[in-house]
Amino acid sequence: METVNKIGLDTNIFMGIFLGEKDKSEQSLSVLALIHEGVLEGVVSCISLIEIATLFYQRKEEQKAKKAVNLIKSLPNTTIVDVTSDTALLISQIKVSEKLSIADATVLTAAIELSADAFLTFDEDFINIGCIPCMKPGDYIKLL
Amino acid sequence: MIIKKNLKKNANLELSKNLLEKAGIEGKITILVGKNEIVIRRIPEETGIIEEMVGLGKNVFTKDSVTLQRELRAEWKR
Repeated sequence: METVNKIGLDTNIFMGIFLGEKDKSEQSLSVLALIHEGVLEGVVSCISLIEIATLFYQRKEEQKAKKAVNLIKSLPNTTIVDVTSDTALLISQIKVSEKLSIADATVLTAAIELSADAFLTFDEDFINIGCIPCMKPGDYIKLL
Repeated sequence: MIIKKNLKKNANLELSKNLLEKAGIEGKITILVGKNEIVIRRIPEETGIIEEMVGLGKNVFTKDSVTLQRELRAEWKR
């Protein structure tokens, strides 16, 4: 291992775990375990926290919304990236160049801004992204 | 306390629990040996953060995680 690898995590990585989706959560949990141990560093956009909280709030699960966000914020070796005026231009550039929605571009830009090695997601809309390798957690683990 | 370890490139070492107890250090200490750096990390005591995440949203949602994400992001277009 040359250095500690940094990886961006999409919202669905956490939602898959919260939902207990067997096909997804096993590989996502392996990645979170590596982050917890300090083998990897995690990068999460604050947009993902908003999305996760919103999904729980929409189901009137206020306590679970708070717990979900606090659990992610408590993950060691993980940086939560805020949207700032400094990142506005980069988000816009990524949105246009990669033909993404603003939300997708904002979440992805957090990983790019912090020089992550890869962005992990189960959303196949990210397959053709050129500015950073995007893949499923299981595929990333195979590369380690 | 001075700890001597034989380090090799690409090693991922973890100090023994017994050693850490003697030194009065809680949690785990890992040593990652890279090409140009050696990273020593203290990992806090296991708090069960990851275990608490599993199934938190079970029986709350009826759709899969990617669909939920896509539907939420589609709302930006409204």
